[in-house]
Amino acid sequence: MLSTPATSEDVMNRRSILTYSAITALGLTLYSGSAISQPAKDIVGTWTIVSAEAFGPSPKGLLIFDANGRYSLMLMRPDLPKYAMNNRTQGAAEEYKAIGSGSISYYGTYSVSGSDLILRVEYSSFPNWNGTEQRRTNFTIVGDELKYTNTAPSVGGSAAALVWRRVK
Amino acid sequence: MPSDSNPKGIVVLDATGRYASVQGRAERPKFKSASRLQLEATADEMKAAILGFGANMGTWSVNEADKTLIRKYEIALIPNNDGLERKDTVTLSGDDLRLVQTAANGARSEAVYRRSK
Repeated sequence: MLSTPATSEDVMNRRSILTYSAITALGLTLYSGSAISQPAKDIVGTWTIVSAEAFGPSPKGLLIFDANGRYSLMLMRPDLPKYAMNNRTQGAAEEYKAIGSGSISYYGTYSVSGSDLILRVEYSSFPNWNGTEQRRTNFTIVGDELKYTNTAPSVGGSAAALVWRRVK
Repeated sequence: MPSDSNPKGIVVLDATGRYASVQGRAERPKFKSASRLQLEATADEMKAAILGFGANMGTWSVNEADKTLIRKYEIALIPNNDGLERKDTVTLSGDDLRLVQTAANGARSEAVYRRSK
């Protein structure tokens, strides 16, 4: 499943996770500072989704925590429709509904406080979460398994348990 | 992303060969409802939220010969892009990472990222 990236010392230093924030597009310089946090050491790494009920029985998902206190998360149902027009600007209402409600992505900075995992959302596919602090409870890492509970899922409803497995 | 003077975005390249790319417009309207599933009156909101946002994750590698960053999509917010292989010319100068893609029709898109510390 994993391809091994070619080592390229002069292009990129791959000894640690590299995280870059968008600062320009088409040459316009824009940069906003980022918060710094102190991540728990074990959390740093890349995780794939094992279980996330809201995204179906075989969800797709990747979660990366870097050593600088940044994270990036994406979850999707595996059965979402492709845009029939092969152009997302010409999607049908049902396609937007299925894709918008069957996926979520966000990134920002994280920290661990006791058994809480705190995810500060800088930017999300669900705009209501932008700038919010998402607190996940019952956070544990046992072996290569990371778990937490989302007490207020973006899709509404009751608390949901999520399970992730470390990518090696 | 389309031309945007105020982009939001992140690219994470990890040591296991996985990457995450998330980007979009800074200004996107919030949903009136607190839940993403209260959709009865929010078809337009859903469309607006989707069109200003892009995300994909998968595996990455670098081709030294032509200085390109290759990202193979495993999870894409545009489901049509599952399995897509995207190739960008990459230059790293100091803490800036510049990615340039030239489409088949010659259109050039460029994004610059700064290393997060």
